[in-house]
Amino acid sequence: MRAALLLGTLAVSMVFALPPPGPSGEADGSRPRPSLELPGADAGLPPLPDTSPRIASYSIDARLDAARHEISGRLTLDWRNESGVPRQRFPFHLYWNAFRDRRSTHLREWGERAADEAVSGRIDLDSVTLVAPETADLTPTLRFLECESGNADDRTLAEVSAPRPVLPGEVARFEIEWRARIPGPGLSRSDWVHDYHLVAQWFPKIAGIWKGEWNAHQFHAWSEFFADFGNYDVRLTVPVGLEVGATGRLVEETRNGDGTRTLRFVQEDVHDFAWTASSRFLVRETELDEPGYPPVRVRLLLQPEHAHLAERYLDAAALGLRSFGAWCFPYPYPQLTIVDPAWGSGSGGMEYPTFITGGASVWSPTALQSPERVTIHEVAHQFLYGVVATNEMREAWLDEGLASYLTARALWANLGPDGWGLRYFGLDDRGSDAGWPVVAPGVYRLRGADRLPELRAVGTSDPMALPAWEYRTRRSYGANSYAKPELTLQTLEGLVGDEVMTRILRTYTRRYAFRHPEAADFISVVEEIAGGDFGWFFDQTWFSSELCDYGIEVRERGESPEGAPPPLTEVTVRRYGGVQLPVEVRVDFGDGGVARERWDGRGRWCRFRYEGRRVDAAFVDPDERLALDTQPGNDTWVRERGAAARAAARWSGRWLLWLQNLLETHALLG
Amino acid sequence: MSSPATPAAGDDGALAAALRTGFRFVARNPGLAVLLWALNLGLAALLAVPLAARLGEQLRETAPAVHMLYGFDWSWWAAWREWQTGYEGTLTPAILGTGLAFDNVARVLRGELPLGLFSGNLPPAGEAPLLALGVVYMLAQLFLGGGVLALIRGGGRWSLRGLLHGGGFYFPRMLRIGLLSLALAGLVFASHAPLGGWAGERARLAVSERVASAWSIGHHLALLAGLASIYVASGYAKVIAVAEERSSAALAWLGALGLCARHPLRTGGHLACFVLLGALLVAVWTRADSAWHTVGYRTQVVSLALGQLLVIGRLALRLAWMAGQVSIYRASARSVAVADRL
Repeated sequence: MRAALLLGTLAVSMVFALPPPGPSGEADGSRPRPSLELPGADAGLPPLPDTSPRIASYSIDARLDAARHEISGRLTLDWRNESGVPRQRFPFHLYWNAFRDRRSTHLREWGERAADEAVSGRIDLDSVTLVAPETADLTPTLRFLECESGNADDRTLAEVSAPRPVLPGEVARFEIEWRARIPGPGLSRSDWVHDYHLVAQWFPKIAGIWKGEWNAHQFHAWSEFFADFGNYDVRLTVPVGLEVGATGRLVEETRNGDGTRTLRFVQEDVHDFAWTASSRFLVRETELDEPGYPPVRVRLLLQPEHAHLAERYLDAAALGLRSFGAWCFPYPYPQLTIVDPAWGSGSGGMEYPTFITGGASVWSPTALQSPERVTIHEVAHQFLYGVVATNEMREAWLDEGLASYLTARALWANLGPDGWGLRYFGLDDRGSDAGWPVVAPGVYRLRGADRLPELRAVGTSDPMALPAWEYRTRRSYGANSYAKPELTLQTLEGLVGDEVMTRILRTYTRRYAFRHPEAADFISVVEEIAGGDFGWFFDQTWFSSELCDYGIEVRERGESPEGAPPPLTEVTVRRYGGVQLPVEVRVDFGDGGVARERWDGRGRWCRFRYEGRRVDAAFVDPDERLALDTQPGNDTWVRERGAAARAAARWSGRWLLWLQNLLETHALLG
Repeated sequence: MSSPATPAAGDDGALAAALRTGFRFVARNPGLAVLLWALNLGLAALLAVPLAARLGEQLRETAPAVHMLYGFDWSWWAAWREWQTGYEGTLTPAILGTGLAFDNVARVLRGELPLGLFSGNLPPAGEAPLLALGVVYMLAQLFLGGGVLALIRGGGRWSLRGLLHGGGFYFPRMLRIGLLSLALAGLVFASHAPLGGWAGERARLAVSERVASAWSIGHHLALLAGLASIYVASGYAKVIAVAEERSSAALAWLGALGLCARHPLRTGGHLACFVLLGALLVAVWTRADSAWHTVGYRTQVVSLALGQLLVIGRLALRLAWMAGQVSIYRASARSVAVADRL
């Protein structure tokens, strides 16, 4: 029996201790880190503003009833009218009413999520008072707005009316008292699970001004958020024993003597405030102090079972701050809080100013780049959303796309390609949730490759550039907000080059820091930096529902003596997709020569003819610049010298082995 | 008057004897393992050869052919798989390395084998040839199983004639026992469904992911243990059907249950040894396979040979398992006889 135990230990350790073979070449950690130095060529970059416009500033005093998962609060809002016209009506977002009942626009659109009474979320305004420029009780004027959805039952957007308009440049001060219940486990990106609370979009929040108008929309199922910048001074009263993390820096802590404590967090120049509280958090802190950059204190609130992932979380955050500091601007805040969400929470993978949520599994093989990917993505949002505050409701793809692009670029530059694997014996049907990870040895994905399947599947459902609620399906929203803009920007990088792309990013992010740019602003920066009209490029990609797919064919014409090159070889480049982009073609000849051709990519095909030369290989987009090309497999033609048969033998042999074992497994069942 | 051995020593001794007998049988009859391997390989090749032809055609004159020769072109594979409607779609990176074993076990636990009988959902139409082949293989093994047990009972060296004669003679009994085993496996799946739902709910409500994983993996292990019990008892039922010339599958099954109940340590220990040996086999193969870089035809031959050694090893383990079960049955029968005499 002891021998059997020994045998078992040996077997198990050999099975599970096997390190997956690493990718060859560039993924061995020898890749250069992005330089933090700004080259002299970029000396003319726009300076980073010292402060934001500080249009909507909040002073909040809130108390958490952790047992009931309820919050009561009082806030003072100073709102300065920078819209250029007098404003008498003031819309407020009441996001948690999306989880009040099934009649909300959010749940109607989502269709899957339940909102029974036990876990429903809600927010109710007790009073709204205008205290400046004059005093008035606005509570009786409160009414809910339908907006574009036409859903009169929704209560996520309300407005109050002042007795007289607030003039341009004038400051209106509101005092609001409210009560709220945090949505239940997994129901929302703000939720509670046991004593874990992730509290975001939690207070009555005035709508932002966009293009001179209120950006007032109900809370749609796959929409995110938009608000104006301001200063936040927030006092949170929570039960003693709960560890708290929040947007901003902790400036004061008071023990109240009633089993609670009050923590005061302050942050200037942000447009939102989120916080979390749980007794289970482990706290890990580090300071990122890179030469030439202001120090950043990174605070990680971690689930105990993920303690072994602390270094990976912190390294990923440092990698993101370093990379995006180099490609955009130095992170302008002194701290960043990272929250590792509780098991069962739906709050992972979200960004709030100076505060992000990650996500990881207890078993997280490094090859799968989790929690690195989500952490770096949310750090990217600190720049693109946090500081360059695009409209996530109307142009979700602008900040999600740019953040996804930056994430992929940073991962590729620093960690190399990610691996591929499946999880077994987990909770859902296919076992992926909380399952045991098995990484496929030797399988790695090139940058952007993981995005192409989504583009092929739903890429033609919608034009990319739509408001969040106008996509046909949630999957289309995902493909058009993440995959397509990421690949479009990677393609742009391929067309203009890495250095020009970095200058584009630096110029765009610095010029629009603490502002609300839109797609046209980004395009104008591209044209300014890269030179020339790029409208054609964005018309083909961002404003189109077409796919990009070029392919190549080679045909030899005429008879030739044995061993002699054919009289004529035709290389035909074909455009299978609707997107028209200029392409390069490389033709390798049997005599060692190489021809490089260019095609504007507009017709359906283009043919190049070569007389008396044998073509060995032909490539459309040989430098793989067109990351948007949905079928990279047809971009090449290679003279057949047996590789296909050998590759087929190799992989069918591997499949044969799998099938033999599957058959033998059948033998056990009878 | 001799006194019976203590139960603990008896279990240990019977287990060691079963292991010894099992591997001696394999060592004395290597040709039997080769025959089973040839059958396994031949049947699998029925689908693998067309797949090779199709892959060769689809990779022809493309750069991914070169990529797939020296590695795995994930981009090409992802696009290729999207338009596979047949069994070719099961060619995924999930079957590489230890994934091969995990995929097999996961399919069993999802109730997809055999013929998707216990999954509750119709299997994908494209996988029908695989499942059909699986049933053919299962029937073939039921046929050969009777022959193998007859050979083990006889104690001599194997012959094809003896194998076929025994297989033909005992096939109806083996088939009945097999069908009864499947019915019992269905019961295990049916009784696991509420357990799985309950454990899943506990997992969802767990405070930590570690606890959730324990619930989730735990209920999968419980299902696996249930199915393994069926497999063990089914094996003894077949031994009893041959050794005692029982034609009733139900009685043979009852006898097997009685044997397992009387000797849980030796029957469970025997199973545990073979599970561990199987895991060790997979581990050794995975290590050897990952250390070997396949770059061309010649290196492929080595990879293929390594893979076939894995299959042969697995088949040898099954034969040793069957011979070991006969040994445990005999030891049990002897102790019953001794007890009766006393």
